[in-house]
Amino acid sequence: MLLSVENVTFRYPKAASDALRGVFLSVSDGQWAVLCGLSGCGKSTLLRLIKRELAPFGQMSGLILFDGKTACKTALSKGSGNRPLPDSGSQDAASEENDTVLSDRDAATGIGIVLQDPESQIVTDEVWHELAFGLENLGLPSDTIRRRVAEMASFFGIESWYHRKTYELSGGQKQLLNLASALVMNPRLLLLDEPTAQLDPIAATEFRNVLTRINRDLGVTILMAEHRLEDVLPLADRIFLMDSGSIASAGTPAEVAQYLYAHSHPMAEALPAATRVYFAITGRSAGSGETTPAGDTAMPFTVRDGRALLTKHARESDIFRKPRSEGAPISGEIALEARDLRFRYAKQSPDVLSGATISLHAGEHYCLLGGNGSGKTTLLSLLAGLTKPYAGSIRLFNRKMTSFGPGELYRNNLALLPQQPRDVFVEKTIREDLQNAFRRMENEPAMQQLCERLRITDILDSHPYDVSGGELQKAALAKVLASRPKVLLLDEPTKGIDVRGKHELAGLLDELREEGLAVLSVTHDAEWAAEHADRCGLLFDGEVISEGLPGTFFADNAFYTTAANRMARGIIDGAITVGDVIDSCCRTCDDTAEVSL
Amino acid sequence: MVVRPRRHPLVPLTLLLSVLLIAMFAQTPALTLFAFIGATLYLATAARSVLTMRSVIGYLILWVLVAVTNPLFSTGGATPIVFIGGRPYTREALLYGIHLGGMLISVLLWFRCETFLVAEENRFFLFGRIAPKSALLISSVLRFVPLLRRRAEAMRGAQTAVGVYDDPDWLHRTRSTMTTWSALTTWSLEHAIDAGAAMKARGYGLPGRTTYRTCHFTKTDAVCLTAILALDAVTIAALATGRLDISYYPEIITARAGLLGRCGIAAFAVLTLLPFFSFLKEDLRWCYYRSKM
Repeated sequence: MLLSVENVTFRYPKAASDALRGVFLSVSDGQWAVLCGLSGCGKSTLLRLIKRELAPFGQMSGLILFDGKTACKTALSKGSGNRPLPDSGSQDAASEENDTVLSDRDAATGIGIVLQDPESQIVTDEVWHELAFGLENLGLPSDTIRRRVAEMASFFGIESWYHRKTYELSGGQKQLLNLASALVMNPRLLLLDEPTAQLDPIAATEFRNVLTRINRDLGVTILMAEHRLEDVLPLADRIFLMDSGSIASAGTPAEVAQYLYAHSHPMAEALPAATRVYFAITGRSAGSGETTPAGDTAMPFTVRDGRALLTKHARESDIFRKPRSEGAPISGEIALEARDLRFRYAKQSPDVLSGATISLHAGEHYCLLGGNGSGKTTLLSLLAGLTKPYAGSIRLFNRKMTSFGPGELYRNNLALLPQQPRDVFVEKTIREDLQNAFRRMENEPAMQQLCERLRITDILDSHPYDVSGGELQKAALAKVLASRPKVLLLDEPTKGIDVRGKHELAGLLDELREEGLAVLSVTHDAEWAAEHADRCGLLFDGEVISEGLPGTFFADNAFYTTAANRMARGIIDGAITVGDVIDSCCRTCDDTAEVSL
Repeated sequence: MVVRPRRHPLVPLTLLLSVLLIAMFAQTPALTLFAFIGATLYLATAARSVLTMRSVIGYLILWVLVAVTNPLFSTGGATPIVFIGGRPYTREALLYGIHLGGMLISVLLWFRCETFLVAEENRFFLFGRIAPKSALLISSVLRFVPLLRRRAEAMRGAQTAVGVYDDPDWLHRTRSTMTTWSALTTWSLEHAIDAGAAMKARGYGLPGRTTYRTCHFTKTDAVCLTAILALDAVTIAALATGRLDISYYPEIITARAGLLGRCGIAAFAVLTLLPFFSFLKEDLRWCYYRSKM
């Protein structure tokens, strides 16, 4: 075993409960293992304990062995006194671990790590120097450094931006650079903590492709924490499911998927679309007594295998319902209307927006999709009045945006939730921030009510940097909603949030929309948009080029669409969500069946 | 685009330091003149992007300003041109101001030349040899500054959109700005901790750090360096023996330059023109090769 974690329990200082509880986990050489679980289940804590330079402070017991040597210092220093002895639970190893402690050098080179935020891991100002940094630290001769850096630069294809400044790179390039800088040290184990959470889908795919090459061609062992399973499940050899600090299930992707389905675990919704449809079909045909589906066909993880499954199913049971009955478009009062917006950053630079037109009705949820750099965030900042277009008009409730005086636009009218929710917070605790926001509106009694509705009352006294991404986003939403907006603009609201968080967010937006709030989300997340939008649009080449109800919008797109739609295309027309597919498949077997997945 | 200079970075750095130090401490108009001519010629040919109309006007305004204002502060000098508020505005002080402004601009121009003479990575290499810790610190600061600027912008945008800046009460607005800045500080500290951990994770702190960049000191480098030092020696000798002295107050008195003085000026002229000549040589060589292609 390259890595084995034996009965590790960990508690943060002053925490009420253990973050990790008796975790056992082992990864053998060359494997690609995925550690999955909802936000806050302890994935990151475990990864950081394995990479001991990043180990958090706290009380740990148990043993982490890397290549047969004790890898975690926390166990040594926090044991009993200065004696290098892990706590009970690993007596067999305790006798001889004096000579089997991993050296600092081996710890630094043997285990590489890439974290979620591409920005926070880059140390130097130029790409070449970032690549060389680790090797310089090891004290290798210059010639060796240059050779290894050169090799790695060509393996990753970064020669063309080898001399660029690190701050000029795109998010995807930054994350590739982080990976290359970790890999240049020849690690045997690569730890990845949700490495694609901050990337757009294309950059994320590219990143995963590189990981596949590293695993297949270089034989580097991978342990990856991830809560979106759609794309990593087909690649992984072994899955560990974590649930509130302990390993709930471990095994092959099929075994863990089985477990998730059988226990109706919230993570089951994060399974690939093909797998979810498979469970719905086979689970039903196997009868009601048996919870485990019949195992005659292999479990599909990819769109391709999912198509095969659907084709087969279509042959055997020939009735398919046309699944989605599209509701009438919302045709209320127009809340926000932008006509022919044009914008560029500098006089000589090209137009970012060249005639973008968009309108938003009261009570509507509009999802604007588009590739990276298509100007989505720019459009939002124009609509929010933060930057001014050089041509075009924006009207808010049929009144020119420029006519709003100071203290008018951002009160009772318009609010923006930025991509990084932490930017909304400036005080020491979330409570202070919210109090200020509500006091500004002279509406303090409403605060408690809103916090209860968002279920964030127990994090109010935390520092904004100490809570999870999903919680912080809800808190940010509370602050933004304090001004009682009628139009809410959201920038990438599902970025880095797990399935449960996404559902909560959508439910909340639905509630608010019933009160007439108009919501415009800019997003890469086709799945989320398909499920929750009233209308979708695609921003391309500076214009909103196609607009429509989600059903038509996604069914017309071939690439910019959901996995479920790509899977059902040509077999079930117009199915765009996993729910649609399951619905139309299972109507054939059981009309009253309630679809749970 | 990266132009990799063919000389060892020590050579252009020595040249730069010599020119800067002599131009700053010598009080000789002739030396200042050559420092100015050398820098201008080099920038005008090798780095045309620097000498935009705007920057030339800026430099000229600075020069005139220094020259014209010097007599207002310094009333030494025997030949008053005019009296301003009862204080003499003297010819000597004006001439000294012209010299002073010229010197200031020459030094500024040489600093601009430095960017092109010593490529950034080479500067880093030299510095890294002398003080590796500080070199790394500078690199991480250079990385951090644009990051901070971007964060500040994002935070300002977010705060504007929740309406903190459009409060009619200016006191409230000012307080909000301050709170935003303090939040930015918190973020910086947080970032510093993360960056420190990231450095440690990649083995920072292990004994025996080395550097990526190597530069080989060739025979040509040795010749160039010796030549520069020899030219330095002649000019410094001329300065040290007082052959190039000049005093402005109360009357302008120049020392008799003699042979050594003239040689000193000539040596400095060659020194300041070296970058221009070497660029010209490279340029001609390139044209020659291209004509053969």
